[in-house]
Amino acid sequence: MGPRLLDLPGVLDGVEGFCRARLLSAETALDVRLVAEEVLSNVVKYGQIASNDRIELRVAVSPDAVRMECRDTGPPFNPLDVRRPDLASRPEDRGTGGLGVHLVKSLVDVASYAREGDANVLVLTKHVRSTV
Amino acid sequence: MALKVRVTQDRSFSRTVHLDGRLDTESASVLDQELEKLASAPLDVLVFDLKDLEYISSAGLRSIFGARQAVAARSGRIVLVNPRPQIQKVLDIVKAADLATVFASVEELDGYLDLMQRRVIDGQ
Repeated sequence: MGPRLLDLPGVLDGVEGFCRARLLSAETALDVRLVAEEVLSNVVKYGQIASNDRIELRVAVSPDAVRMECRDTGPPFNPLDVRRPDLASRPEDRGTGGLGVHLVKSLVDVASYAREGDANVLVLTKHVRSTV
Repeated sequence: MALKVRVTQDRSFSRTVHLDGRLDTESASVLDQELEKLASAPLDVLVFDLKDLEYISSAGLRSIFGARQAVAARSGRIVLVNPRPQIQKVLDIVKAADLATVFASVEELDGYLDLMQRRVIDGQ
């Protein structure tokens, strides 16, 4: 997708449809959609991506895990590095970016960020059991 | 997927915002617009009925808790009722219960509102 929130729903529908087609549970498909929404919107809002840059999201489903890889060619930026929310403070005071990061970290089992050449690469893995 | 918002008034001192669909980056503005219309209503309690809400993201949480701030400024509060398991999971992660009572059922909510109603009457 381009760095536009307008592109987000189409991408998220694709991600969720892919998960459901792979017979993941509805709950897992929605969790993956939520993780994708939070990561992609953080990249668009805070990653300072140029309008002609692209953001790529790859999702792979295996019998025991869903692996998501988000790659963009913006300046060095870890989408999970947005300010951590202070859960003792009021939610309306916490930057939405921080709230989204907290959700992502709670919903995935492994998260790693690396700068590869001119790209930011975030890999998230969620352990699952397929319903098949 | 679209969000449908319907507002009802069941008691003199409360309004209920019924959410149907998904509350996310795309649809949060739909809720914000409806909440804007309630900005001048006298409200002791603003209820969010989540029975038909199947998905919520941080953008949606910000809408709901933004409403909390607006209502609190008029000495009111928000409550959430009927969260589905997916929604309850998200509320638990962000510790939403610290800020808004979450009622699992309408029966529990009615008990709370009945109590408030008696207090409103007693206060007159």
